[in-house]
Amino acid sequence: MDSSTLIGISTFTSLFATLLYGINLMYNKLGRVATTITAIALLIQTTGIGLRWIESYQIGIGHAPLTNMYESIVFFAWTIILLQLLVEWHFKTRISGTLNLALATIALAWASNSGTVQTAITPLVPALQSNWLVSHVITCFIGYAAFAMTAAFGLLYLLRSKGILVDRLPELNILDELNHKTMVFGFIWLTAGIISGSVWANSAWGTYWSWDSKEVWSLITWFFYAIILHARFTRGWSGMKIATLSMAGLAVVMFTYFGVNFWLSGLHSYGAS
Amino acid sequence: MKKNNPVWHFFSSVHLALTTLIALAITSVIGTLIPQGEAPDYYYRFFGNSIASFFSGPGHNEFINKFAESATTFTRILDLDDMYSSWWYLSLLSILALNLIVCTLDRFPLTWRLIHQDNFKLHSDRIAAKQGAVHFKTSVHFDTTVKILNKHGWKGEVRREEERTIFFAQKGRWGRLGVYIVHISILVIFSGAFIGWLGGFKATVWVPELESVHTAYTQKGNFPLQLPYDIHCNYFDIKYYNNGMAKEYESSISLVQDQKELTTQMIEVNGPLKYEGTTFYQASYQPVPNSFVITFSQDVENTGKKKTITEHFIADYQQPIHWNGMSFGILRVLRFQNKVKQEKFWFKTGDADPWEGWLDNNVPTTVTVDGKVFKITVKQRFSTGLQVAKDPGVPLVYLGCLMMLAGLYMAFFMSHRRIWLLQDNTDKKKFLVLAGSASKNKIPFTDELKNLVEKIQAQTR
Repeated sequence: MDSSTLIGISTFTSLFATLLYGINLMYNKLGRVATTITAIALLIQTTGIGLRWIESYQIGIGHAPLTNMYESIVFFAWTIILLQLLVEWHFKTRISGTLNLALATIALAWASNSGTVQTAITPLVPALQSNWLVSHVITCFIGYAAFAMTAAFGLLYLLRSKGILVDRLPELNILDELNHKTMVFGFIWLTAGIISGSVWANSAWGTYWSWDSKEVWSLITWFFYAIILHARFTRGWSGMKIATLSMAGLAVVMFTYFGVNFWLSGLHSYGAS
Repeated sequence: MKKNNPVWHFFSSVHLALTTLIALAITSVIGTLIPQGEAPDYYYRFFGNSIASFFSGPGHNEFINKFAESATTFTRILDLDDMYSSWWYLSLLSILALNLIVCTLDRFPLTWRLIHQDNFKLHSDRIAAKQGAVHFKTSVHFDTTVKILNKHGWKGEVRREEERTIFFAQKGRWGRLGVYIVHISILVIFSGAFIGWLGGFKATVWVPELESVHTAYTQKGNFPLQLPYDIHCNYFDIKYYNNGMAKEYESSISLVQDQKELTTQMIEVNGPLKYEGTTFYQASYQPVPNSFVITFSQDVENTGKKKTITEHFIADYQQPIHWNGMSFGILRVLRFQNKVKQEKFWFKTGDADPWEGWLDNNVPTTVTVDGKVFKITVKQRFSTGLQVAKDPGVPLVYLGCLMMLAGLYMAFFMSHRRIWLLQDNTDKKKFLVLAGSASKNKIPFTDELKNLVEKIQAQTR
């Protein structure tokens, strides 16, 4: 069995988990089953990623599977699923499961089947051969996944306030709190991601900041969430406004992640294929 | 006085902070859409092509040219070709910095008082009115209750007054400094960047193998920059993957001053040479056309001591080299996918017939001529592209980054939690009041208070 088969299986497992979380959200049933299937999806995917790492060594170009668009999307999905389980465990709620697993499933399916994304293991250009690679990618992606989680709570807030799923969703102030907590978490990891990228750039090229389009967009994302956090702390914004902004925030994050690679040129162009 | 000053008020306002951040977020986009640092005529073509893609078909040429012309002029006026160091972008950053400074000076004293305030001074009614305060009747003695609280991590002080006995404990009060540390960290990063701009440089230099260069060219403006030493490239090597992609490339670099070698090091991408605050990064490479490096190695026995003599030569295509009674050179070259694979080498010493043969590029080969053994390496000659950078602001920038992470952690995750245990000595019924406040995570904190009360009540049973 090879890594892409395992990642394919985990895609279907995630899809199944999405449906189960959906049932759980609507009818308050099968919650434990949904969590178990999600954990299994994570396990299969982890094995898949691990296997891909081994395969890269077998073909003589060994490196961590975090270096092209396919690998990054798979890792993005992996981080979302992991974060979903952590949020479930920490906050004792499964409500974000449907949205997060759906996002992970779409990401995985698109990576494997769209044709625009190369699934082959590619050798590493010299610039990427650094110990900073792993820490930079991990910090950024925890940030991205947390912002996806924030947007999920934002959407749930909107649903609840429109009178949808009122019996099944927690009070609005709790949804607001969950939105805020995950946003803060994402903000710290995004900051760490930008910093680790700067330190890496300085050790590879002698400049910690070169206004490359990926750098600028990560800064724009940082500004965006800094604005939301200040609006909350000092202007007392909460609820609907923040929920809407946090969904817009995910669009900014996704542009930083995908849009820059596809539409703009720059230092991160190797992530585009 | 400060409070009434309108300028002070303006620069300390959150409105200004939000407006500046929004302005920065929006304007920053421009530089990712318009390519930065190109020559003026580039922009005319860039705008022309961009607008042309919206208006395909004939009849629009005049409009397209006009648009390209005005867009180019606009770009020049607003420095959009170098917008991140333009006057208006730097002004926005300066406003942000000023806002951070004034804001910190304005609010910090209040926070400092909050951290250091005497929490015993609080009036009993105020304590009892705290959100989530639990009033309960207990036969447990005040001191026993304090011990229970101590046991659960609430270590504090007891103050006995005539009318009341009061215990106070707090956790995480320094978390209130987090937000200031984050704000100051941005200023620290800014000052690091300023010091780097003032006392640093970034330049590019091309050094051909076996040559020395001491002029680098700045990345901005391409100005010549004289280095205090020569950069000598001893050797350059590149390895490829099977698909022809560059796997790694490295250079052996020496810094030489007045014929004295200061340092020598192999450098590669992600592995630079550092010398007295200046760093040399492997950035690029290119082959020197029709130029080769020949390395001669010969074991010589001189009065019983074995010694290897190694000599490097720059050889041009089909140009013979004469050295030490020998003649040699490159006759032909075999290329595959634009990369030199083999060189046909000829070599004559003494009266013997010349030796001729194909040698693999950059692979040492042993050749015996006239009874003497030589080790010969022939390789394509390269020029190594180095980035030379000096940035004395980097330590400050890194300090700022660490402060920012620490500050964010404190600001987001450290909650200033305070608890008071109050006994009204005038009250015969011995009511105790346990009250608390938390700067964040209020819901779990209320649960923690209730939990503590249960622990105390359990003592009576």
